Amino acid sequence: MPHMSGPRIDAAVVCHSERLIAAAVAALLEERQVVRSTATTSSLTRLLSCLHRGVDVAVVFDGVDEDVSELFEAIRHGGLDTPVLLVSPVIDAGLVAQALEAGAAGMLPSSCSPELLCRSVIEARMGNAVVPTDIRAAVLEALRALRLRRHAARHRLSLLSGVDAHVLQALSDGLTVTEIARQMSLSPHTIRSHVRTLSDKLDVRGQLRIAAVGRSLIAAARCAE
Amino acid sequence: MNVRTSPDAAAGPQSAAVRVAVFEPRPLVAGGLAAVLSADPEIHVIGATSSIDDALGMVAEAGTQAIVFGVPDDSAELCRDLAARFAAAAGGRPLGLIGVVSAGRDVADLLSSGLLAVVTTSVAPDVLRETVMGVVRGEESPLQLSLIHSRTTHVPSAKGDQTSVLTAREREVLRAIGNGLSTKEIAAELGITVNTARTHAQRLMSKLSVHSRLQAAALAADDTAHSILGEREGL
Repeated sequence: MPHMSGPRIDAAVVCHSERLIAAAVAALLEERQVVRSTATTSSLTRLLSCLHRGVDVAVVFDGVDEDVSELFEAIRHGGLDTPVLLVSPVIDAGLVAQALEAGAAGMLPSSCSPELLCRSVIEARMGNAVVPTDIRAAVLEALRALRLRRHAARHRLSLLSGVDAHVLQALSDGLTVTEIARQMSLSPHTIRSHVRTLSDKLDVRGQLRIAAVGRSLIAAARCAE
Repeated sequence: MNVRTSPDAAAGPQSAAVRVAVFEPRPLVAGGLAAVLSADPEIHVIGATSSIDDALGMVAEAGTQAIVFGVPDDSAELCRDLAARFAAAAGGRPLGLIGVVSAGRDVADLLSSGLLAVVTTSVAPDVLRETVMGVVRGEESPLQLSLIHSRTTHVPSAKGDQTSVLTAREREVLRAIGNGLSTKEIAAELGITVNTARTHAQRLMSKLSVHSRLQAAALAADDTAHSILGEREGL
């Protein structure tokens, strides 16, 4: 029988391939009467379907196997703004800043106390960011650095023409000149000329280097405003 | 962190229940496992702790029938040592030792650790409860081989699937390719000849079934992204 008073948060808990741990963390939240009901799952795909069903908060325990920004991109694509709290075995200011940039509600170390997790779930539900107090200043600094790098990267990418940018993206994805030519229905000579332009504009020699620079620029420029 | 239930909770309707202690270094998991076990009315969790001294204290209490504890990931020795300390704390009284093992961990080395049962973290919560009850009732075989089996067949391999087929050296070369280095530069950086570097590159490309260095470089980048959050080590 659902109670009308007391806990009022619907939460989903996910722990990659560790169903028992996910269930344990969920049981803990329920026992402490922080959440009304929990869905536990060991896969991120199922987490997404939980989010679509409309849970209030998601807790991702012990890291995620996939790239964290991909998770949040998937969330944004679904038009979801569910707060997602990451609980990670390793935690430092850089990681927390990246997670916040990607759209996470916050991050906690998996060594944290049940009380802290419970409080953080409530904070996340209210739309607040969750950052461990001892590294708060460092996280702000890291966020500032990420933002500067993003502006710089966007500026450098904005100097490229549309086709140049497309070729850069394709090279970064691992496509060869021939493959890019086929994909864009252009001649390999044209693509090679774009590669030369990229080489000049980015000031690096060689397709592999251009691809490496491209990947880091594209990664730095990503993230929703 | 140490959660103890109040003394009167032990009396009354729960007094006939199986008395179980929980020990796990991560307080969240300790508390969580206790909550999972408490869902069974036949199980009474006397406490969940992340401190080994508290755990030994709980085991020493008369009436404690079993301890559920997190098995250290890397060392069977440490596990054997823990099991021996719990058994000693019980002072000859029968004690069910139930280890909770990370999904990816190899459990073969735990066979002689003194554990009565092993539950991997990939199982559903009721398996843990059933295992505890089974152990206390003496129904369990020395180690639950069926669970060991389920672990080896079900658990997907850890992060970086694609590059796990590579040798350590090949992975270094792949990383260098991802950073845009030429064969010559890779050779210089790793202190090997250009021919060796080329061989590594060719071999890793055929292992990954990619046909260009650009494609290999993109894979290398993916692999780095995989380890951003999932890895315990190297940070």
